Amino acid sequence: MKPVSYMKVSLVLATLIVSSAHAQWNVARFDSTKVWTYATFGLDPAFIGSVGVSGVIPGRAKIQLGAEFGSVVAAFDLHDWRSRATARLSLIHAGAFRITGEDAVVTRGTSNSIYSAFNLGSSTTFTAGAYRRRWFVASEVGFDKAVLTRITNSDWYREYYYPDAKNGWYLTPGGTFHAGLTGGVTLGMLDISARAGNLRTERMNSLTPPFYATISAGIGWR
Amino acid sequence: MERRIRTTLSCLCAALVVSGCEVTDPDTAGNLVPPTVDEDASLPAIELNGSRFHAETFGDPTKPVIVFLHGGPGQDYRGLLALASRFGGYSLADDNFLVFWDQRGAGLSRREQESSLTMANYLADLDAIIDRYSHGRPVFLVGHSWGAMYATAYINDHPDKVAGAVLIESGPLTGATFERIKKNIRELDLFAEWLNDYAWSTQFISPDGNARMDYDLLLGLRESQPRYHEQWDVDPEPVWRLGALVNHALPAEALNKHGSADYDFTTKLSRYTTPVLFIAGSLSEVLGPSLQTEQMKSYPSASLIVVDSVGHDVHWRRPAIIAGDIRNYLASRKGAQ
Repeated sequence: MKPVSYMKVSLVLATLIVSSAHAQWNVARFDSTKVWTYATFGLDPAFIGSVGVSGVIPGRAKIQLGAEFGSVVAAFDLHDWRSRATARLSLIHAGAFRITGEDAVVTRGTSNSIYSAFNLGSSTTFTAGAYRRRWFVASEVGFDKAVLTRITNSDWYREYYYPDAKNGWYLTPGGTFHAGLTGGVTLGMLDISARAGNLRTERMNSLTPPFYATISAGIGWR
Repeated sequence: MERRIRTTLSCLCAALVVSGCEVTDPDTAGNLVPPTVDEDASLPAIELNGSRFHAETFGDPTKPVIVFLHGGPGQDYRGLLALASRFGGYSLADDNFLVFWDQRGAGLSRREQESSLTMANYLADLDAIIDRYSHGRPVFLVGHSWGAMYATAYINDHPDKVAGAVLIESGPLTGATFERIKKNIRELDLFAEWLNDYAWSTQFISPDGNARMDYDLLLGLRESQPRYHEQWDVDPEPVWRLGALVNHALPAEALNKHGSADYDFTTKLSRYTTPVLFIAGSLSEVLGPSLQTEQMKSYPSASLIVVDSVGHDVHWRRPAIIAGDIRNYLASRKGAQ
């Protein structure tokens, strides 16, 4: 695939498709591996499984664009889903030490006993650590903001709890900080990475669960 | 990052306004959860012990006083109001003065700082409620679940102020009992749908601020306790609004430095020789007949009534039966006040 058409496909995918539990790929391999397909599973913050594809845009900056879609796997609840369109790059590079940044446009859906919702959000994550060609380990910190959420209260909630609950678009009803560690190894074409850390609300209140932990396996091609 | 988020928000809001959509604030009272007495002046309210409480009374204040204590901590008295209804032409309010109130930080009462949500303040609040309505007479307490624990804690400290008690599906009266049964209180299977719904919900509505916290807590309120209810989604006991902060604060206060509950509401009950009525639902597996048979022994004189074919919220599902049981109990205690 020509670089230009590849870039177009990536951008279209990034725009139209969506993703889940942030996979962290080795930025030290962006020049040798162009495309990854991967699957991720873990607690983030519910048990979610996701699949995604990401690719590096050729050029000086070596930006990796990606798209994921995931669904909560507990009780195979397809009403609870998340998609992410991501852009990731190495911001600072000194020997093996790198600082990376990732921005994502996030869409999410849920349906539970008291409400159903569709959410538009964004997330930003920075990592700092050692990135070698066959492994990496880094600390990460980030913020995920639920910018706008369309909430529809359930009939059950209205009947037994609050009949006057308002359906509609809610502005900034949620936000989550995360901080933890991430790392990965490369075994031939196979990349395995993991992330784990602590979750807090934007006002630093605790969450249930208070942590996240995911593992990803991906196959990379030149 | 902050500037970018602000710009994004402004653009999205502008787009919504242009498209005619109204953007709603999740923290404004009345949107996700009903307003409290501080936010809606039309709600019946009383001020005492430094806080403001949602409260209602029924009946003649000169008659024997019954103070109702709802469950939780953090629920409200909406479900208990069923006991004030008229059954077969009779209401408990005909012969008694009924006092319903939402406890500190719960229901539609004022939201308080976590530091004020303590057991000491809870006991002082109930003492103030009793002083306000009793005119010096001992009162009857009717408590459900946590409310029955609360009643016992009060009786333990103030036996002379309580003419009798009806304890419906009481929660554990000691920390030792709580530690023994706690694994059965909530279904904590990591793959349980309710738990994943609850965790996933935080991506949409963070538990920040009382309105959002209270709304979030409703998710899983009943699904998480399948062994309490015969069918969790059929005719559940209604609440106006949960108090999430007190639901967290009081249990947290009861834990010692090792994380174990070590409270004991029964230390001085041996001096309370007044007959106490326990009530349990036959289908309530955790706080049902078995536990209440055991907990009755904390009181020198107690009896148990088991209501058939109903779970934990027996007073909501069988109000006529429970009101009748309370009426009979009060008749047996006639003259105690």
